[in-house]
Amino acid sequence: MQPRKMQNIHRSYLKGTSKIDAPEKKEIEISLFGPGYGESILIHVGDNNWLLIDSCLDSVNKEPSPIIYLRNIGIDPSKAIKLIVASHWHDDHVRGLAEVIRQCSSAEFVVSNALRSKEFLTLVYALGRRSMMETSGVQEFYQILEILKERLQSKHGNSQLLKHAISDRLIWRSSTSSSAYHLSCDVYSLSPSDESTTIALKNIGNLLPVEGQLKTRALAITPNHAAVVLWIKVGSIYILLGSDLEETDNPNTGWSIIVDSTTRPQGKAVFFKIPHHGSENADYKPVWDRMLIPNPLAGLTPFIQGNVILPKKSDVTRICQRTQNAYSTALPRQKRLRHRDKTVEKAIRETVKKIKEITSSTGHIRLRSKDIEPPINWKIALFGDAIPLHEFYEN
Amino acid sequence: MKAKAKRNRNYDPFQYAAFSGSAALDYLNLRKEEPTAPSIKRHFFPPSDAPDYNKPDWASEMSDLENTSHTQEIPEDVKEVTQKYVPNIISRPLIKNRFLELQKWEGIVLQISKDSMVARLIDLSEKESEGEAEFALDEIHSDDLPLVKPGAIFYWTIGYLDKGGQRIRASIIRFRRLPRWRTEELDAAKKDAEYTQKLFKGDQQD
Amino acid sequence: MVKKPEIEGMNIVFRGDFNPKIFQPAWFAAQGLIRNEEADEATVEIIHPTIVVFTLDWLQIQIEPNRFYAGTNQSPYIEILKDLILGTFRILNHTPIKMMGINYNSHFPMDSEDAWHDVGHRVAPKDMWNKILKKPGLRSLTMQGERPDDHKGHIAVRIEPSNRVRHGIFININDHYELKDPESVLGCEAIIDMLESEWKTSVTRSQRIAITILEQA
Repeated sequence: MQPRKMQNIHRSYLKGTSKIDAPEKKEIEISLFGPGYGESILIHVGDNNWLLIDSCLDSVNKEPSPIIYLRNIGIDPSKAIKLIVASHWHDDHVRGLAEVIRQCSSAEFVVSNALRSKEFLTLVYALGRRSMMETSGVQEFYQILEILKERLQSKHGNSQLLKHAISDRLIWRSSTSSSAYHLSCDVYSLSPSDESTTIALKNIGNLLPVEGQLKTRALAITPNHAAVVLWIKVGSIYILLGSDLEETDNPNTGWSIIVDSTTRPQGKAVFFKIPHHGSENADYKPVWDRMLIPNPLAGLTPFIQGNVILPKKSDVTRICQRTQNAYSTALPRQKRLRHRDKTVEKAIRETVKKIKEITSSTGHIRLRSKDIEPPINWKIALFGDAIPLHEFYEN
Repeated sequence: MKAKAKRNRNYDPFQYAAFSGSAALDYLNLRKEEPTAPSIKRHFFPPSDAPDYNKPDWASEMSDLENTSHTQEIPEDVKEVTQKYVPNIISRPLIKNRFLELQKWEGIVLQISKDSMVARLIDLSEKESEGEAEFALDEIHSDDLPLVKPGAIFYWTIGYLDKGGQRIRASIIRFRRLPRWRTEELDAAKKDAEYTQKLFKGDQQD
Repeated sequence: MVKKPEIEGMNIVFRGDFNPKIFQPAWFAAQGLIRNEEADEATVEIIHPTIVVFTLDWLQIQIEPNRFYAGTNQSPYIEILKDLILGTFRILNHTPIKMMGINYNSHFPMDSEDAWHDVGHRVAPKDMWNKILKKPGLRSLTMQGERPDDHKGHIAVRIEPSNRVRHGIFININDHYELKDPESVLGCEAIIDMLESEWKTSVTRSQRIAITILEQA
């Protein structure tokens, strides 16, 4: 007997100023944004209900990319976004999130269990209040907390403004509706596990300043044990969003405990947001074997810092062997800083050994389908610098 | 028509400014100076005549941070001191150097090696992009070297420095000297964290 | 398009009760608030129980029993100035401070003498004055408005022809804050917290005010 074909894929590459339209009311959309430093995911689950996971800033006008996108397609984000998840606190995943939360006052907000802890909140209040830097993740969370506190105090008693994600928890379900466009949707968090939470709290505790210490910005610790992996079910379609979760030697943390969990929702995802920018540390083959359909659609955002570029060539090779349908939101190219005044250029050359630009343009991978059960016909569109992953090192 | 003046705290002279009555001016005279406006005190010589306008006076002993020689009430005790101890002050407390900014970044140190540091740069001038740069530690002033740690923040400004009658192209790296952590600050953060945690757990309501 | 200012600086003025003699260059260096070399090379005008005045390459400080002033006219040091003040008064947190002015000063060049005159005519129309004075010209104009936030105080804007930049416009913005209930407050924590939280907004707002004035004119 022939295995049932799960999906058909139609690709188009839209560049420049091609008109972008809104999905149809009963059309599923998965949009992955990545400006070269940063990541954000928007998912349309029918009837103008949208889910937002993380936030990044558009590299040109510095507003949250998902907000710009929704406005461009004629959608009011303040009404459309029903769920916002911060999959962790690193600044490449939360830039602009406070502004999103400010605008989307009716959306539920979910964070990792570790980020509701006293340790993390102390870190936020110690560092976030002090305007240490323009783009600090901790400072973003400080602003988020102030917004939520204000809402909580004005609503007099609704303490569900900050829900937490732990392993195998249903964190959101679409409301029942008689609308013809309604699609049932469940969102589960698959992490952090209990042990991951414990380790994350210890790591956060190590970041807490002590008396007499110089004031500096908190730098992200990896592996990120607080990361929230999401499992989304829309109709009969499953989506796996891997956040930044890395696999570890400890079977009670990372991906192994997720795959082996007997209480997680079952099924095989058609789309995989590849974790941690495709790094080898985040790769765990049983995820591909047991949680994904063969040859799934996959997307990732690259990461560039110092001499580190993710995904590496070996990562690209490995992922492309697992699926022929992998895409990246941006290019690994690190451009020279854009042309400036001659005096500035000369002074730069005289002062630094090396300099490069990190963010150039925002890339966007968009998947749409009107089907909610297999076989699913996907239409893929790539905007900006987004490319098929196999071309990542060819440009 | 003159507006009635009521010299009480609620009187708002600007409400009547359009009529330019003496009542408004009377009130204004009660407040001779902006309490926190910066007018630099010319303690050391008597009020001068109004300067020529539209005639940049580079040599004049006027601060760039001011524009006119405001005469101002000098506190009696200060006047006494100056007259007693410094009757013939010639030099002025002025910043003689000027800087014409062309480009500015905020930087955060990511990695440090034996002789260099890698930093992420955020463009504060054009706000168009972020970058990364590697700096030799030789570029850092020796007094700032103890501040160079992962997570440390600095400003890097490029422009022209006018100093001693010369214009010099300058690249200034300056590390932020934030005060060290104090127990009170950390305790306050813990307290706020506990309150917020309780608030979101629904144990505390306002 | 408004040109960048040729001179741009910030200063902070506190009103409260100060002991001027504490604020010597060596003290600032010992607290790690300025470089040791800067303290060594400071130009000290006077250090006396009732007044201290000194300058560094980039900083001007003047302290009297009731007023603290620190300012810079060099943009690389605007944030450094704020850090210096925050650091100073986090250490000396028992110093009573009741009022604060975050002051922005700039000298903008105009494209031409005509453009320079246009600003004066726009902010101070001469129709009325031409009937009163012979060849009237703007010497100084101060406008005051309410604060756009919940703090007590005001924002005052002063415009004058620049004495530092040929055919330039000098704009000073006094962003004035007061404690709502000064008698109930000991020390300076409230004012310093306000400085830390409002600084960026104040600088951005003042720069925008200056540019808006020149764009409108």
